[in-house]
Amino acid sequence: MKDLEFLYAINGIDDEFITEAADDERVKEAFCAEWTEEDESEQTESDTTEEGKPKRKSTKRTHKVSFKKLLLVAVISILLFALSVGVLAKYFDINLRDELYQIFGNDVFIKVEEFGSMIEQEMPKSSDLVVEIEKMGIPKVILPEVLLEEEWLVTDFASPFESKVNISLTNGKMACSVKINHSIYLEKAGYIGRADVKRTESVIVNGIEVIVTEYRAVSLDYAIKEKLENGAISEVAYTLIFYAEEDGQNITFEEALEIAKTIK
Amino acid sequence: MEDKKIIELFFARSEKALTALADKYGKLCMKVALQILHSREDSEECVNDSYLDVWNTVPPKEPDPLMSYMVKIVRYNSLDCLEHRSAKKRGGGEATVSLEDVALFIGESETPEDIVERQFITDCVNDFLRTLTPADRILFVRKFWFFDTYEELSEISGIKVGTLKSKISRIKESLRAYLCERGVAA
Repeated sequence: MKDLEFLYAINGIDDEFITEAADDERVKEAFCAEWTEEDESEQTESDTTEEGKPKRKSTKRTHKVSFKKLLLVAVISILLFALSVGVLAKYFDINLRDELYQIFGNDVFIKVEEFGSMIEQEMPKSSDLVVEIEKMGIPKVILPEVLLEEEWLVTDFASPFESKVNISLTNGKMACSVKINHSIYLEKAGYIGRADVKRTESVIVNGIEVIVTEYRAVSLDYAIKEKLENGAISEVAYTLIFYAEEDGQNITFEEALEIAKTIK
Repeated sequence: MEDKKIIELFFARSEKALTALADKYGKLCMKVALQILHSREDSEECVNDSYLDVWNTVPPKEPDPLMSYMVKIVRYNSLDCLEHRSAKKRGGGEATVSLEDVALFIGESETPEDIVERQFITDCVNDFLRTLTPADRILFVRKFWFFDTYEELSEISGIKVGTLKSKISRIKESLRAYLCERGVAA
């Protein structure tokens, strides 16, 4: 509102200023005059007399810059920059992994997408979820059939980071939450085109369908097995999407299936 | 058509006056309204309302210059519209680029709420503009009154966009200090 008040206030400025600014001739004249003044001042600084009189001293000052000082300033700047990025990252709980930030020249682009606006809107039904998630750029969404068939209502749909989607659902009798973590999928951009579903299998655990999906040729750079075992993603009650490397360094499909069967 | 001729048509209550007015200043009015409202539909409505306002006030008024009279009405109507829209969607992130550009001036605790105070600020801005060089004054008015973009300003002034930004930033700072001295700004 304060800006609006200012705009109201300057609305009433004198007509002479408006006429002046709108008059092409006067505009041209004003800027020509400005350029001429600058040219004249530059010329005065470099004038010498033909009679050999000493050249008039320039009023411009020359600052000698020490290389060491320059280096020190550069190092301090880099440290401050790194510190501020770190503090910001901590403040916003941003995990600075490769897929969450990119560096272009001197700029760091941190990818943070909040879907707060979706919460204000009418929430979609579970059958619309696949489309909603795909709109966020997550390909190949596989959700349990039970969610799609029974028209659960989405009570919360949030993506604090581009790589994670948390969805809470209810069917009136019970509630559940689905967390889709596709960060591994996005980590290697070059793999996106080849990340086909290798195989998928669903198991019924305590009456809940759990889908285990393995993607082909997608790198896994942290141990999902460990995360499952220490409970970090135990809240994934309905859908587990596993990614396995072909060289078998990480979790295998069979291991994932076994873990899925133990989820309570 | 010359402004004088258009005014004569208004005095003769000829509807051709509105057509002539729209032909001559319609584009400028739309630009100003669009920069404030960022909505073509609302802007068209405001500009049309403004034509009607001119029709209802001329005569008896005989505005000279007609352009600033017309655009001032468009600005008032657009700002009113923006204010109503913002009141409806309070907190809806309705800020416009132009508003961000001028986000510096009035202290929140001293927000002027009546026309007298607003007129005082206007007078201060007028006094401030008189202290500027013609080139700086034109830059200020074209940026904040006509809502020219930096690219447009660069075209008319022959100054690089980067230089323009720092120049306008300096003018804004001077205005802030000027208003501060008069107890207006924070």
